[in-house]
Amino acid sequence: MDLGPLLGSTLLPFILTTLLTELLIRFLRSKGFVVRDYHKQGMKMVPRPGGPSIFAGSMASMAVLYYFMPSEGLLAMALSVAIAFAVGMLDDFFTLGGIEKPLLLTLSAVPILALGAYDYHLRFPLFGAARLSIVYPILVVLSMPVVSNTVNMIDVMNGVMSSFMIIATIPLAFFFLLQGNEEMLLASLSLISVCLAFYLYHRYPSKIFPGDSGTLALGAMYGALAIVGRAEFVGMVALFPAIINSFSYLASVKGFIEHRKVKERPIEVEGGMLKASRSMKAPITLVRMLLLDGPLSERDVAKNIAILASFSSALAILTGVMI
Amino acid sequence: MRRLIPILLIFAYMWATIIPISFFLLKVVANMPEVFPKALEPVGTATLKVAIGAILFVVWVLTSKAIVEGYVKRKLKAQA
Repeated sequence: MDLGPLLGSTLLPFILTTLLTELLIRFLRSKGFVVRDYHKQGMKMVPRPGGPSIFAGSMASMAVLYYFMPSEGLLAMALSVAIAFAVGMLDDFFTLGGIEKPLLLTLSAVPILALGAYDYHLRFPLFGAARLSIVYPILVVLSMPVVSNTVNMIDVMNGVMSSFMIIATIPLAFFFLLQGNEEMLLASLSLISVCLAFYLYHRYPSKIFPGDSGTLALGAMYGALAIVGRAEFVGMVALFPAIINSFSYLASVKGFIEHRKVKERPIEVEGGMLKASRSMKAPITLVRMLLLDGPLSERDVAKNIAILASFSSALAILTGVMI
Repeated sequence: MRRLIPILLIFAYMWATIIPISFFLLKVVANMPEVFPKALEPVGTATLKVAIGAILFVVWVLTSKAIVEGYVKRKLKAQA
């Protein structure tokens, strides 16, 4: 592996995201773009959105990778991330509805389809590939908003989304290594580097929140990596905790309802500890499931989610070996 | 760690069941045209594969959802 692309996918996004996040925190604070951290006692205000630094870090890395190894796959990924980031920025500043957001996010599938950066032979664990020439493009259109929203919905507490994304991307990187897919391996390392850099500021106690622009951009990059790199099953298994979280939530609120409009909260904060809501009508989320056995601190909830993510990532690695 | 075990088991269930579903989709459904050539003629193999795949996927999602909801409700009732 050449040094240029390797540095472009690891060191460059890490340094750039770190520097830009540092600057972004100061800028957002000075302009008053801060939101309340609801899981802390008192009125702790945190700058948001951190999406621009995540976007810039990943785009710079993609540009360097594209320079060294031009391909439709990398271009499609970059464009998908750009579209999801734009939708996220709209949501951060104008708050999109529960239906508008996923609808707009379907646009992030367009670059993958338009550039033909996919293979409609879906590879299943153990049993080989199935030709899905008509269905696969439809699955691409459906899966891009699903993955982006799923990652968005796991952004529940300080550091959870960024640490989750680091852990969930490792199986993808491992799979690409096994397959000898250097281009996608480097792209997945780039995603890990961006998330790692952002995690330094997002971890407990958060100095910045990613906002929808950050989570949707990272989700789109993850979805595009899985599709372009033909690692759909590996990606799906690694995302199990986020899938359970988003699906249980959507099923319990019965539809695409913006979370700010949901009356019953799944968790409550009492004396600095998080408690599961006892109401039967409150939405089911992963955090609520974790808190059913008793209250936990925010830091402990984040640790538990990291353990769950590690377990599903181990299953995802096994899935990758079976493909 | 004890509180994680039920959730880890749900993940293990989801993972273990998606593989037989893939097997069914690929092997059994793919071989259907040879077993029932006449019956499948009007429907088309591709349509049938997709339809059965979609049904299996929905069943997988719904059983996973039922397990999660059942777990949460049981816990809440026990603590009420």
